[in-house]
Parts: sequence; C-alpha cells; structure tokens
Amino acid sequence: MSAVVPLGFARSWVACLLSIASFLPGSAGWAADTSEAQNLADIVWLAQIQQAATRLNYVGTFVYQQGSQVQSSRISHFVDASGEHEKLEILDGKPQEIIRKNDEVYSYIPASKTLLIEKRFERDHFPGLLNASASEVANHYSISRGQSDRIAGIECETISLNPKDNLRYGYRLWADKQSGLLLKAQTLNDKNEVIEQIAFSTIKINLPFDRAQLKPSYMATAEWKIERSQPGRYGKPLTQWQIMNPPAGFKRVNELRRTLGKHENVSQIVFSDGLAAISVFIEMANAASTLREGSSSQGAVSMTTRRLGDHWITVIGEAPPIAIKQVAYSLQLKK
Amino acid sequence: MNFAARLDHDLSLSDAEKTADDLSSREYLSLLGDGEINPCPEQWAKLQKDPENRDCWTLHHLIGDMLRSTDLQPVSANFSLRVMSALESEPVVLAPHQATANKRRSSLNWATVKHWALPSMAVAAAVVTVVWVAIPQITGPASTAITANNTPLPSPPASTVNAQTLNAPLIAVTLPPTVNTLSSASMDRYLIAHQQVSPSTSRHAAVLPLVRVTRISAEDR
Repeated sequence: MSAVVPLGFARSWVACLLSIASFLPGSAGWAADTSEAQNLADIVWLAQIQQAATRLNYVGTFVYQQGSQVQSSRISHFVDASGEHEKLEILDGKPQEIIRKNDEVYSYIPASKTLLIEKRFERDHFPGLLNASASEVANHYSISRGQSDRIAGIECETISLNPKDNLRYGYRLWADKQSGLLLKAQTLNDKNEVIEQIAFSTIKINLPFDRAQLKPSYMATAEWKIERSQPGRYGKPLTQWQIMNPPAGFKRVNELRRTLGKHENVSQIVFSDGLAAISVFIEMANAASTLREGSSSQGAVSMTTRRLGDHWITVIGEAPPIAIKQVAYSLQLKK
Repeated sequence: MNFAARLDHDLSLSDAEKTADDLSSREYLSLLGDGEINPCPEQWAKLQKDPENRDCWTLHHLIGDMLRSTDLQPVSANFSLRVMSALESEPVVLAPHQATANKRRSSLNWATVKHWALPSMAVAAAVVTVVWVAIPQITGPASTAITANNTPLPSPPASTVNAQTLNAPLIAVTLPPTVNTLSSASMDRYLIAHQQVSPSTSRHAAVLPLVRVTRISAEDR
C-alpha cells in the first residue's frame, strides 16, 4: 500500500462553518460582543484557511518534521473550470509522486514500478462533518489568536487551538494574512511540546494556471504495474458494536466495511470531535491473521491493537495514546 | 504521593492497613484491563476522576504491551522458569494471616496476591525489558521517565523479585514517553485506511496526512 489520501474534505467543513456564520447577525456586532462570538469568528477564519488551500493556485516546497525525522516535498496546486489539480513530489529518500485530479489520486512509485489509482470517498458520506457545529469544536478546544509572524517571507496570522482535556492534541496554525493559505502548522502534546510540524520554506501564491507543473515525471509507464484500490462499501450500521466510554466529545461520524490488504470484511467506525478523528477497525480473528496486541505512536498518530474474543480490534487516530486506549478498552459487542 | 511511590507503599501495606476503596478501584482496573469484566460507564467515569487511577491504568497497559511485544522476547531462554521459581519463594504468599484478621480480610489475601504480587512481577520484568530497549535511547534527549508525572520506574521490591533472581542487569534507565511495541509497517495499512475517511483530513492544509503516509510507506518500500 502507499500514499493515497483524500485531500478535499475541507470543503464540506468550510461549507458547514460558513453556513453557521451566515445565520449570525452582522459580523461587526457579534464579533465584539462575547468571547463565544469571538470563538466563532476564529473558527470561521479557520474555515477560510481551509478554503484557501483548495481554491488558490500555488507552488511551493514544504518541510514535514516528526521527532528527529524531516522530509521535504514540493507541491503544485492549480484550479480550473474542471476543478482541483495537484502534484506532490517527495524530495527526500526514495522518489514518489502523487497526482490528484479532484477525487482521483494517482501515486507513482518508481522503485517498484507501481501506479496506484484510487478514487477517494465522496464528501456526501460524511454526515458527521456536515452536522459538526462551531460550538462543539469550542466545547473541547479554546481558540485564541496570537501575534503576527513571518513564514517563508510572508506575513502571517497565528491561531492556537488548545484542548480542554488530555484526550486530544493542541494545534498552532500560521496563515497568510492576504490569502488565508496555511503556511505552517504544529501539533502539540499536553506538555506543549511540538510532536509534529509542517511548514513551507518557499512558496508562490496566485500563479496563473500552468499545466506543465502538473504533469507526472514518469511518462513511460507501459511496463508498470497498475493497482486499483477498492474503496469501502457503506454497509449497515454496526450497532452491535458499542463504545461504552468514548473520549468526551468524540461522536460516531462514519461506518463502512472494506478490505485491507489480505484482511477482508473489516469494519471501520470513525469517531471525531470536529478536528481530530479516531478509527476503530474490527475484524474476525482467523489463521491468516498477522496481528498481535500492542501499541504504537508516531508523531500525532497513536494506535492500539487488542484481541477481543473472536475479533481483533485496531484503534488508530490523531489523538494521544490515552484516548486511543480508552476507545480500545471500552468497545463491546452487544448480544 | 506519586504513583510509583504509592505502588511501592501499597505493596508493603498489610491487608489490615489497606482500605476497601483502595483495593476495589484497583481491583476493578485490573479486572478491566484483563478483559475479565465489561466496562460500566458510571464506574469508569468515577475511576477517571482520579489521576492516580489513570496513571495506574496507563502503567498496567504499558507493562502489558512491553511484555507482549515480540521485539522484546525472549528476555532470556528460561525467563518464565525463573519467574515461577521466584514466585514460589515469594514470602507474601506463604505468610500466615494475622490472627485478628476478620473473614473479609482473609478472603482479600488471595486477591492481594493475585493483584499485587503478579503486577509487581510484571514491573520487575518491565525493568528488564526497559534495559533492553532503552540502551540505544539513553543518550537521546527524549529519555524521560516512564509515567506521565515523570516518576522513575519503581524498582521491584526485594521480597518479590530481585536482580539476582532474574540474573539481569538492573541499571537505572528511563523510557521515552511512548513505547512502540508495534512496527510502523503494521501501522501503515490502518493509517492509510483511517485517513481516507477521517474528517480530520480537513484540519491542516490538505497535504499533512498525505505527507505523513508517504513518509511511512516510503520507509517500508
């Protein structure tokens, strides 16, 4: 498997937040009134950040850091009448390139001469997102604006999302004052230490559409192996599985059945607090199972695997290990 | 009292000194961790309010994860044999009950053995495995203490298992805050599947989850 990740869920979130904003009275009045209104203003501003990422044309190089590991990538993002086009080149280590046209994602892996094609999920399948309200986010994070800063030569606004408990991470964001494009993001643990960050080192924004920047570097792919990844099916709700004690604020937003490598018929339940998400994978234990119990953490992502009767349970998400374990150990099969 | 000190303290308490509350919440956590009982939301919420319970829960799982990790096995070829012989020479097991102990207290004695002697064995084993995994990391800046409140790993009480019994190098080392007992490769598949449908994809610029996964999959290729 390789990198195939949907990129545009932002839009539904943006739509939802903007629709909340549109119900409010004139912005000059409410923004100054209460801290809640200020929170909402900040959340709308977050939504604008997301919108900028999908609406603008930009080309830049960014660095992703997790612990002592650093990786540079180059991104080219353009929008025309047919929608979004994106090219991502991994610049360090083994080469890899990802081209996205709206929902379709093509991953070129020259080392194994493989082209992975995947269609990402439709955003309409995320009722939870559409239902997420700004006040719910504000229930679990306190949102505050910081001082202006400069990233990759561009003046930025900064915003902090501090969790109100130890069941989620905090975030610090830097966005271009002019366009709203996010130029730097940090994920912080409960000791306020940065556990993961991403930042542009060079960037050009508002470029004219340039098809040449979007062409894959690997054109002679006749002998390449093409793998098509099957998206999951949205099956019946898995009501027989209950999380007795979900971390506060995490709600069931999605359920599906899918095949993961050699593991067939894996059920996936997704929980979210509006910002972070946790997936629960449930599969029958059989002779072919290669799973074993344990835990793992990389940057902001934590995972726990455990055996529960005839099933293997894997819980993974961008949340602290304590929240992941709470989900894993409160899962129950209702008889 | 921090958790590690509390654990040592509890181990040295006689049954008469231990309160029923103390034992029942720990007992509940232990049974819950072993999957012997189903969680009850009310009880859980009650337990969660106490940071010591949370620490206890985290430590139990940390120990369990370490013991189960295949990366750490075998500690030595006859590890379980030596653990069993150490258990047999365990003085607490053979100590007679106090003559004044009432019926309830004497019935708790077995529970005490089960819930405190065995976990303390696990703690001892954890110390051994800590040495094993921590050596390459000792010089790293990430080395901090094992529990969230930065208390050092409790050394095993001499009455249960000591360094000679286990014949292992017991040196003072600390653990990084996160112990990975599963490889990044095993995480890969689930991480990709998670991020395909995760609403949090919208959190940062669309690229962050993408980069996170490419980094991992590039390592495995």
